[in-house]
Amino acid sequence: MAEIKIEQKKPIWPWMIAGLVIVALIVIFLVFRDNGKDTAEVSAEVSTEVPESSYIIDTNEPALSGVEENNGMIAAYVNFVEDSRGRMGLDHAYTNEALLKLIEAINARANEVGYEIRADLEGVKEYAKGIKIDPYETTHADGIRKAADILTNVLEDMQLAIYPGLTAEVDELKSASASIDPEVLTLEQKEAVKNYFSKASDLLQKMN
Amino acid sequence: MMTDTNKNLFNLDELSGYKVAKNYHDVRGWDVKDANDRTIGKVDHLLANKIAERVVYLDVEVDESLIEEGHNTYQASASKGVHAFLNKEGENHLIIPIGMATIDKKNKLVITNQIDSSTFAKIKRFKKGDVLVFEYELDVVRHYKGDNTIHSSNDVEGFYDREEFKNTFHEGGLEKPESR
Repeated sequence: MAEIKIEQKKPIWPWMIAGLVIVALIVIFLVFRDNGKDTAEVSAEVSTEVPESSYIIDTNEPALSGVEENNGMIAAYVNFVEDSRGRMGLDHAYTNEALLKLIEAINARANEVGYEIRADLEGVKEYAKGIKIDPYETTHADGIRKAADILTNVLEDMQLAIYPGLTAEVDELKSASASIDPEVLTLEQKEAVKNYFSKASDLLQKMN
Repeated sequence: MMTDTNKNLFNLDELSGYKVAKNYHDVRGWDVKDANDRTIGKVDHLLANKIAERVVYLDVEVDESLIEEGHNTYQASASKGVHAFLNKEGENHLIIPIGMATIDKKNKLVITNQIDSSTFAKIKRFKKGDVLVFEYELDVVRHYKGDNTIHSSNDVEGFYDREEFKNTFHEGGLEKPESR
């Protein structure tokens, strides 16, 4: 006949404790694994950085300094032009300084890429000085145009030699340079002058 | 009669630390059929003995038809001078010693080949939740067996060792647990 035995239920708390222990172990595992990963990542970063810094310290520190110096020259010009964008006025001191900074920036970029400038940048400096020395001279536009043409040619030569992809930018610079009318007073074509410096700034930044 | 607590008998539902053992059938909710294949009710609870660690009674909620039949039987029996219990309104539970039942696990049925519906109809029933005392158990077993001399002692000791509570009552209907 029928028989139905009974038995004591197995207590559930050992399973709960076991579950908690497993969860705790998983959490600990995940935490430590993440920590390990972080350490590994740091190690990897260090391992990639150390040789580079060693390389710089041991052999190429002057070269790096040169690069930084060149970048500084270009940045100085770019910032100078950038700061002037919002200014309504344009004086000879500004044009003088802009030309000098542009010369330095072009020199810096040329040095950086190993390009030898054959043009007479000293002559451009003379044009720049002339603007500052005699602010009442009416032929400043002519000097600015000549300086701009020389510098444009230098930048075009660099572009052709090293940056073939920047033809459009050089064309814009040439156009901006051509927009400076030697026969018109500088103060009457401030925008053309500023535009030229701006285009030169854009081109130098793209020559990177 | 049913207010004293019998510490040897526990409703399995109330024994929170116990359950039907593995490979044994939990027959709660299964229909109960008598010797004439008539459904007399449904297993509502399992009454277990903790010391023996087994179920000793099936607590059956009987069908309304059987209750009605029992009422008529009582009226007729009383007039004939035959002993019978007088059941009150709401008393619709009875117990069956586990050894007097077989389990048809395929059809989920409990079958009592030794007891017919008229025997069930004449037995004293109780309300759901009533606490059963040993005297009641003794009366029920004696009634089912038709022998008032069964277990002359009023002590429960040894009572559940009787064949009515074992699975060896009828060899032919032995219900073996599933093989492990």
